[in-house]
Amino acid sequence: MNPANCRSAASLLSQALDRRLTSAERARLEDHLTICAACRSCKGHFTTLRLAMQSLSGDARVRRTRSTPH
Amino acid sequence: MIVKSSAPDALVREINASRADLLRIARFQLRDADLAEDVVQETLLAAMKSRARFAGRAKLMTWLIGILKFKVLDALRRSRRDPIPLSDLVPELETADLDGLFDEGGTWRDKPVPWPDPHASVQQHDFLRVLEMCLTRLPPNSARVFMLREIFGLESREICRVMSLTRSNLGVLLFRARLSLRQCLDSKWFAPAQESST
Repeated sequence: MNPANCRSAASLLSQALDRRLTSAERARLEDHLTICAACRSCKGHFTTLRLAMQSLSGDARVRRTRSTPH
Repeated sequence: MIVKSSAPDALVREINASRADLLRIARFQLRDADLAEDVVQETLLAAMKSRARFAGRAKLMTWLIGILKFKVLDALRRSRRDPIPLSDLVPELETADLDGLFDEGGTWRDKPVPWPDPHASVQQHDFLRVLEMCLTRLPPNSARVFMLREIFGLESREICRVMSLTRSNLGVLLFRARLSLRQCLDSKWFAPAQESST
């Protein structure tokens, strides 16, 4: 199997958030991440994005607290 | 319904105060202001009826989003008996614009760098407003599937069923959404913050 480039590695990083990667896919991704700081950053960004969406879902309470101080 | 204490009155007020937030989420999903109003109204009524069961174990908004999820999915199932027309989907499945992010060898043109203290950012009100702005810039179907996945927590197969999408097309839409949001947050939040701190 060809080694992953950044584009295919980023695609696998996205897919990993939605399904379990095959062992071949995981190996290909891990091999690439070992040598690519940019894709390691992208992995962190995707993780932050997921946390941010969770934060957005529960954000109503934050905003009400701000808009109606007691 | 037996009301055990004065607390449920405060809960009614809190449920009503969540209306605007729920409406924003429903509009993203349904792209139909009237339908979104109806769905949120149904959600609030259902929440009022079953508020005795809300024991405060979860955040109120999490509980309400759980109810909204089922109402939105019902509405989507009712309105989407046919698959998304291919003509609607093709522009969003085109990956030519992603080519701008990568060179011919598939390497990043503009290499991502780590974001400083992302955990602190995601707790900030202003950051979440920027995220919302970035979400409004997504193509419509990408925004819908991304929010079904990340706000409602649906599994891929459920999203494919309700949106009549193939797994492969869903993967492309979610990948595009994440790349686009990553880039938007990078340029609108993290890069300006780094500039102002230097």
